[in-house]
Amino acid sequence: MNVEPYSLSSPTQLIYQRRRRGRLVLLACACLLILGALLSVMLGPLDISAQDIVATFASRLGLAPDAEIGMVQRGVIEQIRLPRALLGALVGASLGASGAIMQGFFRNPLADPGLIGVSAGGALAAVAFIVLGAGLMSTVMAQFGSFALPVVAFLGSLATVFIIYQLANLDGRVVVTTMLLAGVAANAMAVSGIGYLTFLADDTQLRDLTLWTLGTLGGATWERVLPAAALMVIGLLGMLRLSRPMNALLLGEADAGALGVNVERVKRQAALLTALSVGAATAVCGIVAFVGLVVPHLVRLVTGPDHRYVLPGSALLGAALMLFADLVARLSVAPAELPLGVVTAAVGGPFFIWLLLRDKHRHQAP
Amino acid sequence: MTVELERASVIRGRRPILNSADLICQPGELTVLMGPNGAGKSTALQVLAGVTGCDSGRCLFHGQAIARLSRAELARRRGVVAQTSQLAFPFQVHEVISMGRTPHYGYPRAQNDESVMNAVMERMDIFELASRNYLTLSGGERQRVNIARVLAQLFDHPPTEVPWLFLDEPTAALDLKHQIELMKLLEQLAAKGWGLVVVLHDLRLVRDHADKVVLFRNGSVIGAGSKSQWLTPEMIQSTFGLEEPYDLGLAD
Repeated sequence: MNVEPYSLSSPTQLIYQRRRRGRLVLLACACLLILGALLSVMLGPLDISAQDIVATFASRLGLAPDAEIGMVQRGVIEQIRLPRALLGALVGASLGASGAIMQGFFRNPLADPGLIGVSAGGALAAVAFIVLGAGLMSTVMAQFGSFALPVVAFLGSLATVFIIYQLANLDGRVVVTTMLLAGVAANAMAVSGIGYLTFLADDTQLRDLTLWTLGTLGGATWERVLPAAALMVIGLLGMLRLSRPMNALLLGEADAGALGVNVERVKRQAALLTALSVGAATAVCGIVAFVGLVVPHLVRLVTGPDHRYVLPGSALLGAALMLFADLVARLSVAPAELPLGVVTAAVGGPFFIWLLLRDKHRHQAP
Repeated sequence: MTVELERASVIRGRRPILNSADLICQPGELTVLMGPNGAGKSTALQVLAGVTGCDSGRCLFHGQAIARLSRAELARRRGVVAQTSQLAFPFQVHEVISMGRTPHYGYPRAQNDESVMNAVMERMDIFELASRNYLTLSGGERQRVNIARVLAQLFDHPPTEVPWLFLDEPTAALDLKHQIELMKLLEQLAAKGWGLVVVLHDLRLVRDHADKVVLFRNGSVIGAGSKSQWLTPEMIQSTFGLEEPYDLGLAD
């Protein structure tokens, strides 16, 4: 038998180990995302084969103009399944990356846009806009078109991030209990606001509103998806650029400053970008809980806390998991549909409890 | 090539925690800031390092107002070891140390990352901790990792530059052996021309290693100069508010 002699790993070896592992994780998440996207397009009331998908793309790109594909199949792929899959992937990526950024921003692994009311703040702003702003809406809509709703939700999310940070910040140190409690309070207030507005809403508005409380990818049309998608892509690209300064920020604000990081600017960018992504995601598909909490944790378990892997990994895994959650929501009670938030919370709630238990044991250890 | 405070004041609330302090630190020597708790030592250190700005007066780094130097530029020329670290994520030790290289990212010195990391880990005796989770380390081990991280920032400085190191009670959590080794290292760095400013409480370490002492009381500098001039039994008694004179045995 061949026994490896005991040897200390040099930092160089360790760096390569981590890098290799990080890249493997990213690759695995990307494969999962591709699989999720394929299944999302193929599965449903009307079965679509991989051949149909290839044919549709080929004819769109002009490679095979006379490919044989039924008009129905093609319509389902192009007008129903694709926009829904794109929306799901982007929303999952936004929530996953935002969760990772927020956990770094608050220097605490329990921060999550859904948990501390950032999603709810965005949803409240969007709902208020729909119900109260009927007159206002037509003028703003004329100005911003279908960008209006995502932008309003973004402002709601931004206000929530700002309030929670102000409450939890004590001389540059974030008091975690205050952050979580302020988040719970903000969440409760926003949900109650949404409830009150639902009460005021008329029947046509009501159908729109039910979506905000539990989240769904239903009703994804290109017209609704594209404006929000643009905002989410901007948010995602911005967040990925923050990985190094976010790493330094984990050392504490003073230490990060001493390393040359412009702490105030990084915090401002982090707040703006998460609010942008979460707001845009919420505007189109409501409050989807726990994705932002669970996904970065799963990635971190394998790669370690380095944001250069956690951020892209959370975006990819968030996108993949969202697509699988949507598949469960669509297929489990077909032809009806479960709200997406029901599926993610059913998985995420127990995971959250597990996290708390694990931390409890860790703190008890000497 | 000095770092100076000119009538620097820092006010928190309505209370001045640093009150019109004047101070000159020379490279090539170990300057020790001393005084009772809350006397303004740590604040002075932070202002000297450019981490905290002053409300009036100014800090000059090699003749330039430190507030006008870019953060990144400053980070390549001086390092700061704070009293406590707030890291709460399970990084491995080598990852923590690699963060010291952050200011060099995208600059030529980034090529040295790995050799510098090896050198500082050897120096701080943490080579065998390289793959450990930072959160599972003892206080003293964490302190050595933090010092190594800051050393990694400066270890490959160009020969034309004077690197500055600011340390706030770096020996507090260390065992005797590592206290002695750290002080030896600081002396060696001073001999190589580094500028070193250290807050220390242990009077015996000050007696054995300081080149220059600065005494603080109630936010003011009450004396700065040689050990034999300022560390007399009576001076220590009045600075720290002791009931009796405290003899360090410096008088010869």
